[in-house]
Amino acid sequence: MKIRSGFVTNSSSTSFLIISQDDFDESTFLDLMGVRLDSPIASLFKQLFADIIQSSRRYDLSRVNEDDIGEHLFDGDLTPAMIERLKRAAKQGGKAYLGHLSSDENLIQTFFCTEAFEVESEAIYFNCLSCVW
Amino acid sequence: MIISLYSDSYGQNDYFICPRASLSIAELRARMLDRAKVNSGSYASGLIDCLYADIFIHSLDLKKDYTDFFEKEYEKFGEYLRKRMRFPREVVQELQVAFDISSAIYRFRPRFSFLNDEYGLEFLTTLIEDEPQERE
Repeated sequence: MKIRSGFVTNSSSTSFLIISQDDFDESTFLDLMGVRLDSPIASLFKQLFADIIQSSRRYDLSRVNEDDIGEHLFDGDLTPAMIERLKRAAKQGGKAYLGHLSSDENLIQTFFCTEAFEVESEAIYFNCLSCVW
Repeated sequence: MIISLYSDSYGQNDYFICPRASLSIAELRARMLDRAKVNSGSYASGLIDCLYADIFIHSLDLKKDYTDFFEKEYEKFGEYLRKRMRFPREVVQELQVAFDISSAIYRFRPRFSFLNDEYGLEFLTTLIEDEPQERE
């Protein structure tokens, strides 16, 4: 019998979906999350924005066949409600960003892997509910 | 005054939050939300609210714990810190100073990963400290 001492670490990841009417930028994202530019927490959300852009795939929904959504496109992690949202956005020609954050990457992503939330403004819908921490 | 203790094998920090002024926790909450510069009702506002509750509602106030329950058992606050809490000597010395000038001493163990290291201390200082230090 082998005995191992020490501790075991778990890594985690969380999927996210962002739907926007247009391409969105850092200031729009900060506004969505309720962070002012001079906030001491702004750097945290700027890093999150950069990680989201880097770790996601962007879809131009105006080029997507609505019937393919949930069938050939975006299948897997999405809930029926998210698929319905994507179909609605496809009718309006919006953009979608689908990706995941990993707790192995940095402390910011580690934190957001422990969070489950859904936020929405007139321009952007951000779903980060697929957290399994 | 905020004292940081790099405490465990996971690299997790403990913080001792020692407000000098006798502010109510409602006033401390308002101060944190105001200094955080987040929009009311937003995700970020909820995040700061959670942080406030973690510190001022769910964390143990060592000063109150000592004076309410352990003053007869341990003659001095430092003895309570050493023997009951098993804090290292250098932290005990700092907390003894804080005892006389602070309205409370909250032992805060952050669950938010981004509150570790220098960023965490700087962030907490900006939000909570009686006289925020200027950022470099």
